[in-house]
Amino acid sequence: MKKLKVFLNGLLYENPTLVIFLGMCPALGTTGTIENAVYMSLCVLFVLFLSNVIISSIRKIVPNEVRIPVYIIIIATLVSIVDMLFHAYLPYDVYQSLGSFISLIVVNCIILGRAESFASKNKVSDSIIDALGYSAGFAMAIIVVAFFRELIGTGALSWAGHSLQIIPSEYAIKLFSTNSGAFITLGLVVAGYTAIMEAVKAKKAAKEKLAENK
Amino acid sequence: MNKLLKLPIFLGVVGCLCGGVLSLTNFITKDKIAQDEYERANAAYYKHFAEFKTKKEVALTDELKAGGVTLKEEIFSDEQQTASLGYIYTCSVVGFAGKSSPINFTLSFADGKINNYVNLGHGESAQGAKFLDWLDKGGNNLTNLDAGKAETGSSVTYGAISKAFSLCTADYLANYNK
Repeated sequence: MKKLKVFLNGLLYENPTLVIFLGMCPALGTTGTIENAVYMSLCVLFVLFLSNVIISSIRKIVPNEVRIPVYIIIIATLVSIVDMLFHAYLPYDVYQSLGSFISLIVVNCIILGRAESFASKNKVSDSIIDALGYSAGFAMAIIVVAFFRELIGTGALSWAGHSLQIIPSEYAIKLFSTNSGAFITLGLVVAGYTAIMEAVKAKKAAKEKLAENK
Repeated sequence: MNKLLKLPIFLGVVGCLCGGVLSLTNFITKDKIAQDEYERANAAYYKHFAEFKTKKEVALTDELKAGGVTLKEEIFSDEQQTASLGYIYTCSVVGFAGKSSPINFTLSFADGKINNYVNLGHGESAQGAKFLDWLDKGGNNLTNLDAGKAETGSSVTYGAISKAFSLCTADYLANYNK
């Protein structure tokens, strides 16, 4: 039960992008297409998962005074590994469009935040669940933003060079493909998400009140 | 004193371990990255000759230089440069009597005839580039450029391109027939 709570915390209640607004740089910069968003999510999953596992494993032997430099070295190493693997095995266009955002994962607050506030204080199994929850939450948020940006901005959804035109291109609103469009779409998605979560909370509270009255 | 040594040693050990992991990853991926970069850098050559392996620069004549040819290369399908596939001429010509924007392209020859044409980029407008689009589509098998004269924009681009085509063809055939 505790593990499910840890997972749902990252996925829904403390969603890094939609609730606590961490890692906004890739959330805005790599959401031009769904393909980019998916690969960025995989990057974050790889780094967050392994950094949580490693930091949780060595938490008892890391001297408190040097814990932050140690975390940074570990995270930077993992990011460099992802960068090299993506460079070698990902389509070059995708690697190029992700560009510096891969390297910027080193300073992504989600990764360092989870390392400092969770992995360094909890056992490995809980840290794995935490990493999966936060990665899933991040992935969900940026893929939803990318879906709307790509669909409204180009009228089509594309993957690996294949494109499916859903809205005639003359009706596409190019603004959504630009940086301004990223802010607007993210704002709308956050508003929609908050409204849904508030409605769920209100429904739950009403149910509990009804049960109390009975 | 104990702490003064312990902290840097700990950081040093972590740094060495991370360096080792990075070296291993680099060892695994470096060949693939180098191969991909080589193929990307030579992508234009593969459009002319799918079996492209190596190339050798050939000296240009003054006539070719004056006609806008910037590079002539012999293409081989092996590392030893014994199996020749043909020649590629890289050209940068300016239409409209030198007043238009540069048009960059490569033209290849094999087996005594034109093999392929690859557009490397130009600064023409969409209308001005109609003749270039016609060439991109393999206009009249690239043997009779006059057939493309009816295309919009040919008055700007046709002259410079056909001159370069003729120069390259003459140079190639002169050496081919030797």
